[in-house]
Amino acid sequence: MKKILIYLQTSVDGEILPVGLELIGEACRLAERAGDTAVYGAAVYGADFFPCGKDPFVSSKKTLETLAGLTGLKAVYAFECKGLESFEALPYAKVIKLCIDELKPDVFLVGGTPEGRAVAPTVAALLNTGATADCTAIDLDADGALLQIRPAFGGGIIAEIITPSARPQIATVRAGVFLRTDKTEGLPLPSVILRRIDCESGCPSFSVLKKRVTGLCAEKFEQKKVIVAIGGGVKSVGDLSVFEELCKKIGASLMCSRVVVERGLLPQSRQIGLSGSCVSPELLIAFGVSGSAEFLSGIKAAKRIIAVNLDKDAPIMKIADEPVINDMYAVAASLRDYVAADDGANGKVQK
Amino acid sequence: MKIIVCIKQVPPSGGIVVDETDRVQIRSGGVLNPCDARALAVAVMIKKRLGGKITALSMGALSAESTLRQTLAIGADEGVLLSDKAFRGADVCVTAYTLAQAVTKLGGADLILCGQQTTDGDTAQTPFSLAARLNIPAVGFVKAIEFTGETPIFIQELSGASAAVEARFPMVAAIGLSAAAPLAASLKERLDAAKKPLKIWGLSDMPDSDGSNYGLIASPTRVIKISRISTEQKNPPITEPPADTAERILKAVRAVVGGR
Ligand SMILES: Cc1cc2nc3c(=O)[nH]c(=O)nc-3n(C[C@H](O)[C@H](O)[C@H](O)COP(=O)(O)OP(=O)(O)OC[C@H]3O[C@@H](n4cnc5c(N)ncnc54)[C@H](O)[C@@H]3O)c2cc1C
Repeated sequence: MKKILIYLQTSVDGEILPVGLELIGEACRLAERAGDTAVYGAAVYGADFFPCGKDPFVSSKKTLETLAGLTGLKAVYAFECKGLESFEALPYAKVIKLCIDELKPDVFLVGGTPEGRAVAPTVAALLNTGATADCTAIDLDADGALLQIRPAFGGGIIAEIITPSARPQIATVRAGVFLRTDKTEGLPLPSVILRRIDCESGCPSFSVLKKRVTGLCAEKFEQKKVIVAIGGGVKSVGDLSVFEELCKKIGASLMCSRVVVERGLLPQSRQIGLSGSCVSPELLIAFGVSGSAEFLSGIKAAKRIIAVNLDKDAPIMKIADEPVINDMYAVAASLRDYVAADDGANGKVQK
Repeated sequence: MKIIVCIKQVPPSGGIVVDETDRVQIRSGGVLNPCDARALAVAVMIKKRLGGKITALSMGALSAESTLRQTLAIGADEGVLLSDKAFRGADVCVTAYTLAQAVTKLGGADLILCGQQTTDGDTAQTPFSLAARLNIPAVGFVKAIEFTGETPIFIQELSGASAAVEARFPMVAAIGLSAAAPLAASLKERLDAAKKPLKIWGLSDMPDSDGSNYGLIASPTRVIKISRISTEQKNPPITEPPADTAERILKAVRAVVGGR
C-alpha cells in the first residue's frame, strides 16, 4: 500500500486553506490512477486555538468536524501543540516528522504558501530527503515513485525530477495549480487521529521565537476578475502610472512578471508565475510580457488572454486568445485618454 | 555579534546555461544574487547597532570569488568560498548540508542571514534547510526590519498576515527583496576589499570530508529529463492601430465586469 500525506495548513479560525483541498483533489486522482494508494492529511494547531475551558487540550468541535468531512482521505492527523500558537518552521516540521515517522508515507505534499514553503524544506532536511519547490505537475507510478515536474533554468525548459531512494518524496505546489474535486459520493470519510504534544515545557527542541501577528496583508490579488499584467516592457516607475490608473478605473488588479519585481517596480506579492501566484481571472491583459515558461505556469487557468507585444514571436503571442502586435505605450496612451477624459461619456476611445 | 551572510553568484538575467549530459547548471561568472545583496545590507545595519563581524559565505565555482570580493567591498569583513568539484550539482538538501559544515567550521554564528531566494533556482528553500541542519530557528520571507532597543525585529510575511518576530540568537533569517536597499561600494571600499581575507575551502577543509556526502551523488533529488516546451500558435497575431487595441481591451473588460 502506497501512502500520500498532505500538509493541511489552517487559517487562524481553523479553516483548511484552499490549497490543501486542491492537493487532496490531485492526490486522490493520482491514487486512483496508480492504484493501491491511500491519502492522509496532517494539520498542526496551537493549544490557544481551541476554545477550551480549563483543559488546554479540549479540541474544538467545529475543527474536528471540518477534518472529519475531508472526503477522500483515509485518516487525518490533528496535532494539538501547546506552545505552537503561531507558525514557526522548525517546531512545526518536527511535529510533522513525528507523523511521517509513524505513517511512513511515500509522498508528502505541501501547499506553496509562505508557511508551506518553510515547512517542506525543513522536514526534508530533518529526514535527509529532497523537496522539489513549486511543481506544476506531479505523477505517481505503480511503485510509488513521484515524478515532479516544473519549469527550471529559465528559457522555456521543463525539468522532470525524481527522488530515487530517499523517502518521503516531498513537493510543494502553489495555490491554483490543481483543482479541488467536487466528487464526494462513494469516497470514504477519514478517521481523525488526535495527537497532543506539549511543546512548551520540558521539550527544548521545540523552543519557539517570540512572535506577534501584526495584521493582515494588504490586498488579495487572485480574487479579481480582470488582471492587468505588465512585464519587461516596463522599464521605470514613470511607466507604471498609466497601468495603475487603468486598473483603478476598471477595477482590475495590477500584477507583473518577475523582472518587474526584480526592477523594484512592484512588490513580490504581485508576481505571477512559478515563484509567484497562480491566477485564474476571467480576463488577463498582458502588456510587454514575453510569456516565459515560468510566467505561463501561473496563468493556465485564465479564461481569456489579450496580449500586447511588439514581438509577434514572443511565446505569449502563441497562447493568447487575442495576440495583438502593438507598442504597449501607444495602446496605453489611448487608454489614458479614456481613463482621464471619459467619466460621463460612453466609454469610447477617442480616435 | 557573529554574523554570517550566505551569498550566491547567479547568472545575469536570463543567462542560465545547462550541461545537457547531467542536467546541472554550468557556472561561469555572474552577479550577486539580488536578495543576497539585501541580506548583506541587513547585516551591515545590524552590525552598526550591535557591533561584531560579518563573514560572507558562498558555495560555487572559483569564478564566484569576484562576487565574494564585491561583498567585502560592501561591508563583509571576511569571505569564505566553498569550491570543489565534489560540491558540484548539489540540490537544496546537500547545499544546506555543505553550508552547515562550513558554519560549523567557522565556529557557528549568532545570526545567519540568507537571501530569501535566488534568481536561478528560486526555490526559497535553502535558508530553512540550513536552519534545520543547524537545529536553530528560522524566520523566512522577511519583508522589513525594525528594532526594539537593540533587538532586531523581523517582519515576516505569512498567509494573509504579517508577524513581527523578535530575534533570538542563534537563528537564521531569510531576507526578501523589500527588506532593505542594496548597498553600493565606494572606490576606496573597493580598494580596501582587496586587502580583506578571502579563504577558499575544499572538501578536505570540511569537518566531514567524505566526498560521498556532497554534490550530485549525495543529492536526494535528480533531474532525469529536461525538455524545451514548444507551443502551437493558438490564434493568428492581430495587427491594428493602438486605439483599436484600447477599444478591444475596454470591450473585453466590459464583457466581464459589466457596465457601459
Ligand atoms: C527558477 C526560476 C523561476 C522563475 N519564476 C518566475 C515567475 O514566477 N514569474 C515570472 O514572470 N518569471 C519567472 N522567472 C523568470 C522568467 O524566466 C523570465 O525571465 C521572465 O518571466 C521574463 O519576464 P518578461 O517576459 O516580462 O520580460 P522580458 O523577457 O524582458 O520580455 C519583455 C517582453 O516585452 C516585449 N516588449 C518590450 N517593449 C515593449 C513595448 N514597448 N510594447 C510591447 N511589448 C514590448 C518584448 O517583446 C518582450 O516579449 C523565473 C526564472 C527562473 C530561473
